[in-house]
Amino acid sequence: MPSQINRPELTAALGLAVFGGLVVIEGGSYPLGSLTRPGPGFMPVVLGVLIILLALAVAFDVRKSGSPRPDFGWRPLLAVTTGILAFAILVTPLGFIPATIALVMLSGCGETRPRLLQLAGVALFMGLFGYLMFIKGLGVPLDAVTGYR
Amino acid sequence: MNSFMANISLGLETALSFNSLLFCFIGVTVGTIVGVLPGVGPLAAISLALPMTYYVDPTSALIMLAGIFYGTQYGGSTASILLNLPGTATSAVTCLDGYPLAQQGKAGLALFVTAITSFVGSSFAILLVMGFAPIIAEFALRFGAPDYFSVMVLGLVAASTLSVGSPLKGLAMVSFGLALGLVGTDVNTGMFRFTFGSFELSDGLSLVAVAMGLFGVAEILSNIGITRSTSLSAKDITFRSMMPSPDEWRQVWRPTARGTVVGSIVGALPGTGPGIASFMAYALEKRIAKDPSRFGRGAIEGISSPEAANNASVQAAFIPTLSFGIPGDAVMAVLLGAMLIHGITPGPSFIANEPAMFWGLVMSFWVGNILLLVLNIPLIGLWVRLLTIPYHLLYPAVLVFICIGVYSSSNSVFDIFVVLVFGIIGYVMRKFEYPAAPVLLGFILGPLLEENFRRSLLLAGGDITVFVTEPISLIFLLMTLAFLGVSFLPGLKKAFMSGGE
Repeated sequence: MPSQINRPELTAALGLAVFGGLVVIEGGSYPLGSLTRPGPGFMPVVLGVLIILLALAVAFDVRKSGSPRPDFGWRPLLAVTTGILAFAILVTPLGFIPATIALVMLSGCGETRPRLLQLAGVALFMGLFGYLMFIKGLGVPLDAVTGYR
Repeated sequence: MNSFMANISLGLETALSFNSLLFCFIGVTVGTIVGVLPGVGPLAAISLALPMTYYVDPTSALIMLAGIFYGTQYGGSTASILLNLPGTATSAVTCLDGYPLAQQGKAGLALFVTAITSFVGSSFAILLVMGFAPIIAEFALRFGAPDYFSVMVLGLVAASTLSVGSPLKGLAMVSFGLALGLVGTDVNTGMFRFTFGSFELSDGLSLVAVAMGLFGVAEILSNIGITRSTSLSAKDITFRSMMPSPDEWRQVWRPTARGTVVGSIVGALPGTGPGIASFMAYALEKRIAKDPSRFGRGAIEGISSPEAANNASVQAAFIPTLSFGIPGDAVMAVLLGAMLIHGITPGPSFIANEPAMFWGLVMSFWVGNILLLVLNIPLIGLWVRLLTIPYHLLYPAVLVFICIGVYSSSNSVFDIFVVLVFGIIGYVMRKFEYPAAPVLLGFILGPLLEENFRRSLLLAGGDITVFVTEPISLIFLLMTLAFLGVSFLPGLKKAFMSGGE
């Protein structure tokens, strides 16, 4: 049993406790009501307290656990995040096909050696396929490319 | 008895209509594809299909969504056997003996056996659904608000503690999910809660967005960059290589029967899903085997029992879902969400109010499972080829589906941001081994739980002891305590899960 404090695990658990605290603070600002007629603030406060208690119990449980520091894949995280953000930002002003191309190319860079040509193929295919299936087929109200539906 | 036959013919009439057949076929085919592909799970697929079901009638929608769910259980074993990578989380156990079998050149046999045992497990559990769901629903019609509250607590506690991993983290995640369910307009007073002035949040967080973030995006994030063996151990599976010898038939049927029973029981409990069923079935086989050392080296019992169990549990999970309105696991919870979206109230009156829908759905299980048998035995070669699509090209395509799928469910860009946020939360949760399924279960049951809690107190005049003085509610709460006892007292847990890894 390692006696060292497992800092990452502890941070995660305490982060959850902080979230519980925020739920209590925000929930406490709503009318609490009474036991006969619980108000909208009642459940949030109860749940927030429950989250704090459980998070502290987890923190106690993992404080010295031997689980290794998790290895975050920063590259995939960054690539997928920018990809989805690009899609969300571009889809209304530029249309579905440009947004799809941005999403595929950016998120595809999550792999250490992205094959750009193959990705471009996927991007074009998904753009056309998605256009036919969602916009033509299901009637999703989006432009394929600005001004053209 | 007469009414039973009448119900069955009503169900057949619904299930065999053109629309039902078509959507059943689409559902099980999508299910098989999603099941075969590692890194895309049934939850992501069902949430993705959810917006598409807005365009069809509720019966067809349910038939299709259910088909995706049980279809993935068939497909999941394919990647386990051929690549040693579980296609779905529930077929992880199948890797243990399925992959060694493939290395011994018996991939065809393993694929055949898992398809057949899956079918047997499903069939038995469908019979249970037909027999028990209506009876249980009739009993549940007598439930009052406190009883509902307590059965939901039981389901939530069972789901979070009876999984592989830390029960404390599971409980913390259920509470996290319940808190997420608070966002939106309070049904009793119309007050906005946790919306922070955002108009988009006044209806609450979108179920599709939360589910696709936690399961779809998070799954992709954790799968990128993992080097996989792209060499399939068997590219061409001939029909002859699939047929078991008479000797192998004899080895298969007993474990299949045991797995079916384990899966049916586990699946019928509220809150416990197929993952735990296949794990328990494998543990049981290993425990009673004459020579346990064969396990992990290609024991045929090691694939037949868990595959029968996970399929049986998937079908049996419809019992609590359709009779109480309490989902067995996160996928069932999304299915309940789909019913709500279509304006159907899940709960004990569902079967009585919508007999055509209930019996049509149940009879479509038969249609779907027979289709799956065809898809997974003669057509298996098709799915095996799917496994040759490299992941670095697959995941950007899946992300496109996720983004457009979420957008189309509400026609709002806001939900795409929600997906992203929950994708990152889900990824961090995975890294620290916090389970995601309880979050979704809590999120969906949260509003129902709060409503029944407040109604109970209102009716009881503020007397909080109502939850232990009502006998049915008391029984559920005692069962909840039993689950907590089992998971937190190490000796008990050992006895319960004996023989595990």
